[in-house]
Amino acid sequence: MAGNKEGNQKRLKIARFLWPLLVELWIFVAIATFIVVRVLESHAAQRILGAIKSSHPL
Amino acid sequence: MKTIAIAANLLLVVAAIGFGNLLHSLIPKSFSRLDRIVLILLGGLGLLGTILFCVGQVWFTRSAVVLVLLLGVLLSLRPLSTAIRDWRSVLAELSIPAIPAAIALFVILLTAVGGLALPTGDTNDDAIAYHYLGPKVWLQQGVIRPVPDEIQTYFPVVVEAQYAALMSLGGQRAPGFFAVIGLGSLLLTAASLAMRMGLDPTGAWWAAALVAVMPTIYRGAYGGFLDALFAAFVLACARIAFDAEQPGHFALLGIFCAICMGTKYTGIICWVLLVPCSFLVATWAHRRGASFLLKWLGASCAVAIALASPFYLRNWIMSGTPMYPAPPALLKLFTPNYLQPAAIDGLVRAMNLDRQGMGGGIVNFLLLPFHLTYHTANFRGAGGIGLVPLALGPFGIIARRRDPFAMGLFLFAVLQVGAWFATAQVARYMIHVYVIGAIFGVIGWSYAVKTASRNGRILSQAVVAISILYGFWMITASRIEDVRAAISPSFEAKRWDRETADAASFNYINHELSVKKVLILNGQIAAYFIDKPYLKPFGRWGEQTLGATNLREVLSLLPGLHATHILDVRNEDGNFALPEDPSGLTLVFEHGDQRIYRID
Repeated sequence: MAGNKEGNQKRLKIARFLWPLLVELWIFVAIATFIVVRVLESHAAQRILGAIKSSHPL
Repeated sequence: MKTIAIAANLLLVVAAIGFGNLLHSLIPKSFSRLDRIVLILLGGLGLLGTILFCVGQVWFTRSAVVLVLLLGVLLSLRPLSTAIRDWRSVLAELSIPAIPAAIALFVILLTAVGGLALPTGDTNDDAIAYHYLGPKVWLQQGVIRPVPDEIQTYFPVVVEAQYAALMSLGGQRAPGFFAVIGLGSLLLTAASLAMRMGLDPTGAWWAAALVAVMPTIYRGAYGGFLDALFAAFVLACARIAFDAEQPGHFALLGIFCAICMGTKYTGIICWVLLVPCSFLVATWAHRRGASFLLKWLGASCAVAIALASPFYLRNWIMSGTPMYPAPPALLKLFTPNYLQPAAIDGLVRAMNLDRQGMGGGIVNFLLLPFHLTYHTANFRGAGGIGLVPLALGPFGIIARRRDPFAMGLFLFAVLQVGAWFATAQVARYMIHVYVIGAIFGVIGWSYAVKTASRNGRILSQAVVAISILYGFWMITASRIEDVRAAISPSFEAKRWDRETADAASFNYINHELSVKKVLILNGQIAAYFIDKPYLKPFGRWGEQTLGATNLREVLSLLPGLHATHILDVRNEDGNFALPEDPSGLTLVFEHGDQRIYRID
C-alpha cells in the first residue's frame, strides 16, 4: 500500500511539475532552433547582418 | 480575358458539384454538413476529370467540353437551389473567428489575383513542361493522347483534363486561377478533418489557416501544380476509410481511392496503405468483424480499380504497360512497346537526383521531422512547413492517443512518410501529411495551453505566430511578381519576354500567318508556348518521336512531315543544331540564340 501511494505521488509530481516543464522546454528549443536555422541563417538575414557589420566595423 | 478565366472556373466548379452530388447517398449519415460539402466538391472534381478523360479518348473539342460541363451544371441545379434556399441556416451555423479567417482569406485572395497572371518559364517548370502542355496539345488535336515528345504526359490526368476544359473555355490564364479551387478544397478538407478529430470550429479555422500559410503546401497549390488538390483527395479517402461502416461507405472509399490513382501514380501507394490501416482501426478499435471488413474493403478495392482503370488501360493499350514509364517491377509482367531506354534512363537519373532529399537510413528517417522543419531546401521544400507540426504536433498526438480515428490517421501518416522516404523525397509530395501535422499541431496547442503554465501558453502562441509570419513572408515573396503581372499589363508583357526562354521565336511563330507547322529541333524548348501544331523529333528526356535517331535522319524525313518552318536554338555546347546556310531552308527570323527557317 505504501509503495503504491509513493508511486502515485511520484506520478502526480511528474504530471504537475516535470511534464509541463518538458512541454515548455520542447517548444522553447523548437522556437530557438527555428530562429537560428531558418531566420538568422537565411539569405535575407545574412545580407542584413553583413550590412550591419560593414557599417559598424569593430 | 481575366473575367472569362474566372467564369470558366466558376462553371467548372458548378459542374463538379453536379457530378459530386451523385455521391450524396453514399456519404455516411454521421458526417457533418461541412464533410458533405467537401466530399461532394472533391468527388465532383474527380468524377469530372475522369469523365472528361474518357470522353476525350474519342472527342475532345470545345463542344465536347461544353457538353460535359453542361451535364454537370444540369445535375447541380437541385443541390444548388437547396443550398441557396438554406443559406441563412448555413450562415447561422458558421462561427467565424476573425484572425484565422483573415489569414486564410488573404492567402486565397493572393492566389486568386496571382493566378490570373499568364504562365511564364521554361521546361524546368513542371507546369510548362507537361501539366499545361498535354491539355494544350489535346485541344489542338481534338483528342486526349500522350504527347510523344514528353514522357510525363503519360501520367494519370484527372486534374490536367480539367486544365484542358478551362483552357478551352477560359484561355491560358484559366488553369492558373484553378489554384483557388485546389487550395480552397484543401483548406475545407483540413477544417472538416480537424473537426472530426475533436477540434471546435475555431480550432478548425486555425488548422485551415496554418495549412494556408505553410510555404511547401502553398507551392503545391499554384502554377499548375496539383499536389494540394491531390492531398485533399487523399485526406478525403482517409476521412471515409476510418469511419466506413456500411457497404455504401466502402463504395465511396473506392471511388475516392480511384480519384487519387487517377490524379497521380503515388495515389496507388496511398490506396495500398490506407486499406490495411482502415482494416486495423476497424477491427482493433471498433471491434468489427474481420470477414465483413474483408468483404467490403475488397469491394471498395474493386470499385477503385474499375474507376481508375481508364487511365491505366489507355497506357496499357498504347504503350504495352499500365504505368508508363514503367517501374522495374512492372517490366517483369509487361513488355512496353514504346520503351526507349535512353529516355527512361534520362528521366530516372533526373528523378533520382531530385528525390534523394537528405539521404536514406534509419537515422535520417528518425530525424525527418527536424530535417523537414529546418532544412526544407534539401527536399525542394519552397520554404518549409513552419514550426507548428514539430513544436506542437507531438502533444496533439499525445492528447488524442485514445481516439481510434486520430490514431488511424497517425498510422497512415507514418506509413506514408516511410513510403515517401523510400521512393521520392520531394517535400510537396507529402502535403497530406503536413495537413495532418497541422491539425495535430492545433490540438497540441490547446493541450499545451491546458497542461503547461502561463509560459507554455505564451510559447505555443509564439510558435503559431512565427509560423504564420514566416509563411506570409515566404508566400508573399513567391507570388508578388504574379500579382504585379496580373494587375499591370505592361509589367506582364515585360515579364513574359524576360522569363520565357525563346520568347521572341514564340511571338514570331504565333503571329506570323505563313507558319502552319513547326519542327522544333531542340528538346529543351517549351512547346507549350507555341499555339500552332508542332513536331519535336527529340524530347527533353531523349524521346525519339519520329523514329529518327539524329538530325540527318530527321532532315531526310522532312518532305513527309508537312512542316512549314524549323525552330533552332543554340544548344548548351554553344552550337546550333543546323549548320550555317542549310540547303533547302531560308532563315526568316533571328534573335540572339534563336533562329527560324522557312522550309522551301
